Amino acid sequence: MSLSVRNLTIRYGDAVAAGDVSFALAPGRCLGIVGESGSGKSQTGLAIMGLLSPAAQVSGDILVDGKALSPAARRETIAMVFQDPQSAFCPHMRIQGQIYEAIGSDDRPACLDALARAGLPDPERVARSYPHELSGGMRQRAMLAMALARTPDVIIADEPTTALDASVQLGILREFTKVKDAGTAMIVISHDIGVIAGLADDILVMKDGAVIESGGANDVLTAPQKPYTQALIAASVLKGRSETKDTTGGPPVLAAKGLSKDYPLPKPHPFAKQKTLTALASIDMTLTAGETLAIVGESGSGKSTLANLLLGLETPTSGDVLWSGQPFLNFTPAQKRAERARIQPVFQDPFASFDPQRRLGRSIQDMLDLHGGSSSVEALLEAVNLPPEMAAKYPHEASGGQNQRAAIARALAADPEVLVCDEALSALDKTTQVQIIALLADIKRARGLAMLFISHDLDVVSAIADRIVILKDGHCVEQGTASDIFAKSQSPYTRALINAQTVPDVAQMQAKIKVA
Amino acid sequence: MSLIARLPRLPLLILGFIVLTCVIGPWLLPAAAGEMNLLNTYAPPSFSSGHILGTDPLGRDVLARLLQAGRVSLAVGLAATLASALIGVTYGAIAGYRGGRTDLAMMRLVDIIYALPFMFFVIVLMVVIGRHMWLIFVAIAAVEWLTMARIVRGQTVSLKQMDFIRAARAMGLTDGAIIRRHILPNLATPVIVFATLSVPQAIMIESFLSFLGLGVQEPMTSWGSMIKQGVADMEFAPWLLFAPSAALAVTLICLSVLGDGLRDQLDKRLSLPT
Repeated sequence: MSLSVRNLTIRYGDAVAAGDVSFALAPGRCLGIVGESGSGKSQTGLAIMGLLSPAAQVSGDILVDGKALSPAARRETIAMVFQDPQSAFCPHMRIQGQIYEAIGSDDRPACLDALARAGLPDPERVARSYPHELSGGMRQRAMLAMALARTPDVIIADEPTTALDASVQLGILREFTKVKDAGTAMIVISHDIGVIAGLADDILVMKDGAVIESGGANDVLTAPQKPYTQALIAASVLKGRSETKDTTGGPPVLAAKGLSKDYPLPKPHPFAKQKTLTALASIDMTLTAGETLAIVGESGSGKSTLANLLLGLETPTSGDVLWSGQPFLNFTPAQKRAERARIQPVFQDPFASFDPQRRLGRSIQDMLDLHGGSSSVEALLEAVNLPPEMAAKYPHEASGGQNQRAAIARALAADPEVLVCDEALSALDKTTQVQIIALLADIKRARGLAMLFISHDLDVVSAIADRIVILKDGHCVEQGTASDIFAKSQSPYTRALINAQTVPDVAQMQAKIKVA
Repeated sequence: MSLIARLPRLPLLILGFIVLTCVIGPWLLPAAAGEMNLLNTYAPPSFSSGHILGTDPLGRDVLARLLQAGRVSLAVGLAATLASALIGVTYGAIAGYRGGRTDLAMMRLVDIIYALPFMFFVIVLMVVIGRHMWLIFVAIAAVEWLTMARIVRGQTVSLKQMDFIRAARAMGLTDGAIIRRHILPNLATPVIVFATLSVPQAIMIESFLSFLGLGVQEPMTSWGSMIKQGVADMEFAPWLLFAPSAALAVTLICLSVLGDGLRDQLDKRLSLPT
């Protein structure tokens, strides 16, 4: 079966979500649609499935074997894998029940076969599990199994690995590659050009609802014609810092000494003994004046707990947080409030970082009022390259990148010694990430700030860090200068993390996927 | 202002009419209308006699009584709701924001009061305080704030985890300032909506208490008391029941529809980022 899309246009009133999208997909081929948020790539996928909201006006042809089918008939032969396997499963049904629904009968062998084909090692157990009992990677495999159970001719995967850790991502990509090799056509939608490089035979580059460039995967990636595509590829692998010096000599501004944090686990019954989850186990680290220290870890590694402890937002179970050598816990409440100016955070979600009821300028002014900085809102906005008009905007009226710049301006308003960036770039597009990294580097140089940079993304870290601490399951795996870690790390975990980074190169990505 | 413009128009108009007539109506009617006239009891509604809604067992004009009763009912609804919002929001926000043991202790107290049978609670209050007009306000506010506190606490707990609250704490604001500046303004939507929906509830509770004879006392009256009296003479003077029942029903429906409309509008405008 072949799928072809001709002049597909999706409008919401006057706004064009996708305009004039055309492509053809042959059996066993994979089309990659790449673009940043708002490019219309997901809308295109949903339009093919007939899952757009009724407000969307769709024109153009979606042909299956040359015939225009109804959306319901299309869904008979096309299956979809969504980004977030957590919310794509119904939480109260076992996996098998949901796969039976997809098949249309309680066909147990077919269900187990689909789970096995999706690369799940113990199909019997997975079939009996509820979604919350599976890890993120297993859930995404189960989603793929649900799609495969219908023996579809085409699978559309919308950001299938975006919600997963890098080390899990390659495994999922391998399962997709196997499905493709078995003859199922595929459309993979992603913002990560490396994911596209690993799977796609052909590529469609979208921007602001329009197809900018299309062609064979290798051609587009090695010889991109359009400046936007070139910029996208260039931004996909950040330029690592060439040589990083050991910066441990300076005076310590922020340190953890034997820092541990336990959380009580829910008890199975009222008389059970209280068990605890160790989020962090005796972490030692020191941030010296003027350096950038990166804390790298995957989900569940305890890196956000560490950020909260260092910021003094949570109390450690044992160990000390030292602010310029003084234990934070020994401060009086009034001292704590005054000292807080010295260590300021920038958080992950740019929209949740600001009170939705306050204009951005007001939030920055609050900080100035509190800590009596000599600066002004305008000067701070200028320092983060925002026009003064931004002060009058509400957070929801600004873009993610603009909000994140304003969050940095707010932190700078306190005239801090340390900036703690907790996944501060993770919610942003790659091209925006590049701009914010440059901004952070400028600010650091101009003000002599020390920076604690917490991230799951080694690529981002390589572009900014002097030193790196690798965390896994609450333990420190390794720490050292950035160039040492990247060039000659001894830890297999670190090596696996480095290898799991995606690159915009077909041959390299396919090799990585093969060994995953 | 565009908010009010987009609310459902009909209930807004009807409610405005009811409130206005209740507030200014009693002054416009002839002074004697509300007084007893034992020569003219149980007069059926008629335009010619001037008693549009008839008279009651004591010969008082039902329309005059209805407007007077409306003042009491509406005042009870409004005052009890304001009091419950004030207590509930403060209590819920503190419990939710402080968390831990403070939260546990505060919310268990709410649960305990919740668990008391309402009638028992009112009768105990009456025994302790005696029968006063304002006892009804106290009794209603005393139960209404519980739900408000629970709603506000839940919202506060989820607000507290958002990054802007973490940022405010890292900024070095005091807990009081964070609750005042960042928590309370973001609670406006659920509080306004719940308050609108709790006005009819308060009116209803007052009617119920008055119906049982625990509410306002003669010569004061409320819609609930009038219904109670109307029920007794239902068979031969049905107008005594119809007039207050209709006033109560129309007011309650209008308030509910307005509350729903308000929720739809505010949810769209002020919804928190998720």
